[in-house]
Amino acid sequence: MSPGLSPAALRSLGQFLIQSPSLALATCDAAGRSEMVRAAAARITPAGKLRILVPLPEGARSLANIEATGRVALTAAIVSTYRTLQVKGSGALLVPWPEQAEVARESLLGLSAQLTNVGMPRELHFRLWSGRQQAIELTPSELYEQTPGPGAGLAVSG
Amino acid sequence: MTAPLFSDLPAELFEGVLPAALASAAADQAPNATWLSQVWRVDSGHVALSCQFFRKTRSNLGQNPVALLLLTHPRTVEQWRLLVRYSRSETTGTLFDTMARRIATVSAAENESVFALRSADIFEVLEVEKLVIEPDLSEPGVADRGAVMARKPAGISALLRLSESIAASKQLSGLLESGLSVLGSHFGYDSVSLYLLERSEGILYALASRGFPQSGVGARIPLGVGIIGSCAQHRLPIRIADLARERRYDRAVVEQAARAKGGEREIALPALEQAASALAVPLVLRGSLFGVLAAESREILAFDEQDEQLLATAGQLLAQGVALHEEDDSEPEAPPLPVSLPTTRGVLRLRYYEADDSVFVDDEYLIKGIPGRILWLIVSLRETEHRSTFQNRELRLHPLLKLPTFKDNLEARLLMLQRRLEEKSIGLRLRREDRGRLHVECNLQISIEVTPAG
Repeated sequence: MSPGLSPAALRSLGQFLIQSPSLALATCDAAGRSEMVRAAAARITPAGKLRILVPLPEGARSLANIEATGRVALTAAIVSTYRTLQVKGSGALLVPWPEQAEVARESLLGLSAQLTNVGMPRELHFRLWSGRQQAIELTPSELYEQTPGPGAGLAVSG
Repeated sequence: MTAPLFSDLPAELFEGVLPAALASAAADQAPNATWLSQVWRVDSGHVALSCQFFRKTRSNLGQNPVALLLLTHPRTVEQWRLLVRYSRSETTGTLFDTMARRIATVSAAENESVFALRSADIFEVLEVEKLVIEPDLSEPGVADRGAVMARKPAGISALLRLSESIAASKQLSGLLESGLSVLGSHFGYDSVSLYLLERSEGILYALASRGFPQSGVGARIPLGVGIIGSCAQHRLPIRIADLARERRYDRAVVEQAARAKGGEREIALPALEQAASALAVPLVLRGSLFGVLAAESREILAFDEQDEQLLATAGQLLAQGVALHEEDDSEPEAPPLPVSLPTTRGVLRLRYYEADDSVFVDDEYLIKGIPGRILWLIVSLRETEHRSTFQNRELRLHPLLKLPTFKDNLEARLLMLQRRLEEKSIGLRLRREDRGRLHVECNLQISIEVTPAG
């Protein structure tokens, strides 16, 4: 089991996630079948945990996988710059997130501003995922650079 | 509910406008997620992914070949999941070449080796699922408008109108003017440009354009350079659905943008500022490359597969029309007009550089290459032989021009030169009232200088 990310890596990741990247969450069932869904938002909590909002109904199988294995991989790409990070973790649990509506809206509006800048009509941004969402929380243990280029795939240390 | 068939999925899913995402898993069920620049539909049961940067994904597929693709429709943001099984990697062949060309054209950056296609990874599609998404549309200004990016219809009637306009044109200039106009009015292609290949130079020249801030007539772009040059070199259409997205990687777009600005000895290409979509189709006549017809738009996803076919067909009609005008060699005999005397006291200073056949007017770049050589010849003949009328036939045969004996595109070159002179308004004009003849008009005294090569 990985001990988790360094404080510097956690800070980096936290700052990155509040820039409203486009998020895709990968999970896997016990038989090794992969699953993927767009996530609505992700944040690093003060305790250093990673919280992700999984939309429903399209994320139902992802949540089932999380309950079965606890393992996730989240890729996050800033639309305007293509900077991309992938974070992986384990021990994921379904949790309540009292502020999730605010976080979801903040994240969606941030992404919407970027998508508007690249020419996508605003009306489409609000159809990328469902309004109903379930929060999960996990310990982030691995962080990788995924921006296209020579550094893609390298671990981010901090 | 019946599961959708892979073969029924919309073509736009494979345009690469909204990145796809791939989930894979290792043997120990550790998941991995990555965004993909583009997914190719190979046939009714397979997709191909470009293996450019996949490290962990490749490792996972070696352990567990079943992965999941998430595709998003760029016009509606409807989403589909494709359960896929890794089948094989191809490093040669038609598919690999097609993908490699696409990446060479619209990808790469500082270090090409990093971005070069290593293989085309083929996956069998096992299952297709359309996601049920229940969006919250309570945000102000977000009404339920369905597919908000609707396509415009165009088709046979537009092609018929183009064909009629070409048939009715008696002169090459009229053919180009009406032809490009119909592309705007009946096809919805408001910004179009037509390039002709100058085989002896390996260069494409902008012959005509419509709907750009600058006409760019006479602008040059080498084969293999930029979107236009790559389209010509590979004789394949190039369609870029979202230039803004691809610009991050995009050598071709960067090159094209640089060319659009022009330079000391280059005319700026016809180009839209903030273009979002581009489409270029090769024009081939009698098995040989003839030129390129290109369209740009400020909208993302402005061009789809139908546009590609439509523009290619329209381009062939235009190319055949241009070629017909070249072949019509009827040149009426008429007495040459004498050189008119200067009516003003000004002097037009022309400098000709033998090295690249460039012509400068009062130290300002005018044109180069074969059009530059033609201009130099007729101005020199005007000064030495004191006549202002020239027959196409004599130009074709003149040793200084070194035109090919077959398919010299002289008409097109003269038209390009005529338009360039009109745009520059330097007091020197070409008038072409009869087929096969041109008149040089200049009310200034002409001073000519030559800078020898070397």
